[in-house]
Amino acid sequence: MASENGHKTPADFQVKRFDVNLGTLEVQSRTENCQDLEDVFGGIARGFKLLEHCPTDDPYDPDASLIMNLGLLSGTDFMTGLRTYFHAYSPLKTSKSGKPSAMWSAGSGKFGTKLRYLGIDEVHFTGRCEKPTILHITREGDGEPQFEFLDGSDLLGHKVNHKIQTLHKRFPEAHFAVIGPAGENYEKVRYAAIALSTENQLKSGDQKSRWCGRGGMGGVMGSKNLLAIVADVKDRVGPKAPKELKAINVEVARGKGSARFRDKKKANGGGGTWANYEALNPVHAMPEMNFNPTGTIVSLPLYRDNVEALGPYVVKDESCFRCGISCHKNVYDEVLEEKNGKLKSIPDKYRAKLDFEPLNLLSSNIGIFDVDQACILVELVDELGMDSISIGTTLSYAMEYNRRHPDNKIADGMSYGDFQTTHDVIEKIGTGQMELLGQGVMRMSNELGEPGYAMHSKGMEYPAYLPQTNPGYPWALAGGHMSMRTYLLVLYERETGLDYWVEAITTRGLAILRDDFTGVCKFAGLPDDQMAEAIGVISGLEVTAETLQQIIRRTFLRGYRLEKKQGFTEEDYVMPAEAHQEYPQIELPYFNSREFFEELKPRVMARFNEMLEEEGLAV
Amino acid sequence: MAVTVEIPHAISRYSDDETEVEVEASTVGEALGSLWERFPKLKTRVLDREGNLHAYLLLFLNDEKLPRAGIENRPVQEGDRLEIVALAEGG
Repeated sequence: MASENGHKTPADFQVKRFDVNLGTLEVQSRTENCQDLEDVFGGIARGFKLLEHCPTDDPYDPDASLIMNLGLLSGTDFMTGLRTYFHAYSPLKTSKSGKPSAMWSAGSGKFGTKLRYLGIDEVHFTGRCEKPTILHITREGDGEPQFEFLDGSDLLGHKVNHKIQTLHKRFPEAHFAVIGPAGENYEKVRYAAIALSTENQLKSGDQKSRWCGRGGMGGVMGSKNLLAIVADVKDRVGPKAPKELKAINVEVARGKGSARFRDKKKANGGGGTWANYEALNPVHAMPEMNFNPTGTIVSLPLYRDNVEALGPYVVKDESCFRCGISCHKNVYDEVLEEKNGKLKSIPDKYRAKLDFEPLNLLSSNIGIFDVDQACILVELVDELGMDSISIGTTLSYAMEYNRRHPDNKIADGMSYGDFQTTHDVIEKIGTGQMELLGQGVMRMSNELGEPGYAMHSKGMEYPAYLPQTNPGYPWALAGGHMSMRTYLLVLYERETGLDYWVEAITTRGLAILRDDFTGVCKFAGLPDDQMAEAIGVISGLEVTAETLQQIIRRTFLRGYRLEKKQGFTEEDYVMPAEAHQEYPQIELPYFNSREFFEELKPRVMARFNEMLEEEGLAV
Repeated sequence: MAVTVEIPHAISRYSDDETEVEVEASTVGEALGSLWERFPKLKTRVLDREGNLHAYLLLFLNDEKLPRAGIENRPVQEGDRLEIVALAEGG
């Protein structure tokens, strides 16, 4: 019951849950009372609790669960409250024992908001549709959502944007979660992703999806023969937002937390993640040539300022639904138009959205330094529906393998900088025609017998932050940087001691998980006390910064516990051998040697085991 | 002149977790110098060996982005805000 001051407790909240059996096409709904704060928040806080009850040895088994849920602030008036989460046992992240690991992937766009309008908190999918299927969900007024299973065979084989635009014509009020050809070929592509539609995408017709990219969730969806989920309901206008929320949203849009993601022209913005090129390249701390920086200026043409100066491109800062941060850096071909005697630069054809990770891993890290080629590859990966981080890191491994084995090349002989062959290889991977690479870098490198330069931990390919500078990667539960915040520590803090890194991994590194259950985008960057205030204003739930930190800790530990339950041992928490070597061209302290890591690991694992005991979560 | 210096969370460990610090200064150099006096470990996290701003940081005086070098003698006024922004971040 609400406390005397009107603040709510978990007992005041319920989860509206739907169990969808895709084999029998039966839908059961239930309303569950929240038992704890994790249930209230949703996202991964609840997701890990649920996955513990449905383990599997085969992520593609029809009985395997795919859980789709929202966070507490998803679909609310909190700026960036847009997240949808998919949870499953991953086709990609696997222990040495062979069992898949529980993980999640999160995305923005407007799909989550539509789920909120539908009155849906959570959907559990099991089973497998007999034929390619579109799940169409509607709602009349405040009634129950209605689930309808439609024939999706006309979408089969089509690329992501075609699927979304086709569905948009059919269901103009809806937003969508779809898989691409990669998800349809899930047995040959372990890093298929789920695309979530955006308002900008539907208005413009351009490939501007947001992504639940990591971990192969698109393949799990594809294994159920589910091509698309249509959240079809008119937008709802709620009561006027309280003035406290307006102040919070102004802080999200203009405050310190989101500064680095805003455009440089807006309120002291840092320029978005693309600015990592300017930040990391001068100290040669940016991946090139399979995470082996060249120590040169070869990546200069890919800096945003240079792309705009050299042209002919226009870069526009665009955003998700109602977001004032505008972190999307969308590249368009430029045309010049005469107006009032002056030439004006006008954006013409849309090329791609260049976030740092897709850009780096599909250009510099594979030896491509041409922005036109980079845009083509980024968009191609999106259209095929794959995780750009996983495929980028897999491609660079294959190129490095070919460099080392010139007489025994794989992947059509693809080499660094070979745009056309790389393009063709990506097409083949995404359509299930190159399984060696489609299975990801861990399996590929094990098959080839050369894992030392396969940049992954636990089967999850590294994002565009050097593993040489981040011994925290093995303990990331999902994407290496979005679930363990240790990837830029040595850049900013320059610390190399064991005590520091144990603390960084077991305490500070976990903080990034907060917004995997609040329902907001990590770029909002609100400190915990302001987030607690926002949660109270919007939901009435009384929490403090400390409460949030406790939920973060328990959530991480649940995820870590699930790894152990799926057979992960200390043998799984490793980094590739060549990540421990010294690279003199990297102008950051060299510390992550094999010896350092072998001293660090038992201390980290002992601390995590203590924490599991403290929380009553020991396996 | 009282000037507020804003420090990003990425390096606030070296300012005792303070992200807004008021200093007395008449130039940017003096403002930063006051900051280093109070938080000596912060200096090397903001400036490189040549004394220039690290490539992964930006410095704004009110809404104006300052260059990485040669800003020592730039005057500041009462109430000015000197903001250090962390440029590198994931997403």
